[in-house]
Amino acid sequence: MTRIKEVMKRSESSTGVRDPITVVTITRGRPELLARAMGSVAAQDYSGPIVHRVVVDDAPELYADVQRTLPSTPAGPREQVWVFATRTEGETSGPARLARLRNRAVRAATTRLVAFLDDDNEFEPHHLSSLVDCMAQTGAAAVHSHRRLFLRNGTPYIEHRMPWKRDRREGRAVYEELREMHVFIHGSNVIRDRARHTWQNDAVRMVDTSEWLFERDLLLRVPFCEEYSYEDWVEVRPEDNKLVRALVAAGVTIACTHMPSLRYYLGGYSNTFPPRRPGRTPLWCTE
Amino acid sequence: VHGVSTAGSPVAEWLAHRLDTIRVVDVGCRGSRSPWRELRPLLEVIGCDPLRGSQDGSASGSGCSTCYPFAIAPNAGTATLHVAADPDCSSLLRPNWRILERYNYAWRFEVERELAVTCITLEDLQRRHGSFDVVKLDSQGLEYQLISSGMDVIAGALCLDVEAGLLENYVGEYPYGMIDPLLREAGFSMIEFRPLFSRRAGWREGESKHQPLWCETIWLRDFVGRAELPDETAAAKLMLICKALGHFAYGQELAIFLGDEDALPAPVAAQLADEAAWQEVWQIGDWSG
Repeated sequence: MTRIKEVMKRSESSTGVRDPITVVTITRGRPELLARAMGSVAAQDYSGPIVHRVVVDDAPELYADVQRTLPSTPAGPREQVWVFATRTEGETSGPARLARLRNRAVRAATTRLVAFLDDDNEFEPHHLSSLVDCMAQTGAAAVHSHRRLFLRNGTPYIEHRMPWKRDRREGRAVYEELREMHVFIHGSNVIRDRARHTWQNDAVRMVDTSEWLFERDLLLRVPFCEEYSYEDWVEVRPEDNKLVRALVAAGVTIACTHMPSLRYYLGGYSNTFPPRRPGRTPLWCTE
Repeated sequence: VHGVSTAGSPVAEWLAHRLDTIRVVDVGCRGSRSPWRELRPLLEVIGCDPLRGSQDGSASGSGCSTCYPFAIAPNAGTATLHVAADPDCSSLLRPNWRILERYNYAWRFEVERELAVTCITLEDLQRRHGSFDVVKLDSQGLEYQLISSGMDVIAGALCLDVEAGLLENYVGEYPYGMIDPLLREAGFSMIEFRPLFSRRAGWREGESKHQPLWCETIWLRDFVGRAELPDETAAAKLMLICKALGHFAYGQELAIFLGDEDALPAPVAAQLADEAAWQEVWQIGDWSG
């Protein structure tokens, strides 16, 4: 064994015993992207156990190939748990459905720590370990990273427009507002998400679900909101947005790694807006 | 505050009245290099380095007015310092062997021991000491995170001195390419970029060209580019920094802009708009340059 390899081995094995983490992924209609997301969980450099709980909101037979994907040379114990959810009549895609599935997955988890990964996103290899380190350092029960935005084809998204606005002009205006606060940066695809407390006099409360690591007990106390109004639909306030507000309102201590360790790909329901047909109910209202 | 001995000229009089102590935060102060060491008579330096054992600047020999044996991190608390074979490569981040093993400097990053260290943030230091004119970061891979978490501190600075990786030498390091847009957005313009090289493993000196792996950069607040007006104390400090760093053209451009905006006394603006003023020796207290 070369000296460098000896050093690598020692360095990688020196992290000690670490808490198990459940990573929850809800998936529907894109098994090929799910495989990519699962690969990024398997490749985490976190030396503790990771249980990847994949909740399939879709026909099970579409996922037979993905289920055969196994991690190679993981940094710690890895387990996959597959759950096949069935929809009740009239249940449609959107934040209410996602929130119900997320809350159910949190209740079913048996680990102290819970993270999420959307099926079209990816973790960088140090995502979970850096979140756990941040939690240990700060004692916060909710910690989050930053993210880098990509188009579906992998091109970095550097357009001067907030992608989560239905109206493109409004998207550009909000981008400039958030740029003033250094959330968006010209020439960079990093979004510096944040959720400061009300006393910090900062209106920006924006953290994607996949950026978080939580103590499970916290999510049992402050779960994802399962009710969405027409106004929520108009303002594009999905479950992650409402969760941040609920956490801040509950006075939860929140810390940030300041590492953009989530690769966020555009193309999900929160940033893809098909033309609305007159007379039809908005896609994801529960009212 | 400082006696300007080149009495009589408008600039000397102006500096004597307007110049205040230049306040520097020096993160990773063990290896502090010029020009800040040369400017010491005009500076108050708050240093931080977890491998220093003393809070007494004079006893530590760092030249800092105050030196804390703490690490600066994005969050306060206790973290693990990975103490490397070359102490200058010690970091809160783990070495990234997938990158390092390709270069002959890899031995420097070998972790010899792990040390629990107290971490504080740039904002903690600012709360304790007030705002800083110069922020110097030599934090072994943590620069992006420190800048991102310290944007309020960065926003008040006139000059940044940042050593950054061009590759991910540490796990979780975000290299220079990501720092650059953040600092430009924060209102700074890069005026110096010094690439630093390492040989690929197996090659000897002089046998080949090699790629730059990290860099030393200096950034100045771009008042001209952003059409912003500093107060006269900030302007005086920035003029002096330009003079000390040898960036006469930057200082002259700033003087012309401030003169046009009536933000400097006319005789001072006129003198600083003249290249000759920048070639002269400025004598301020114990410092001349």
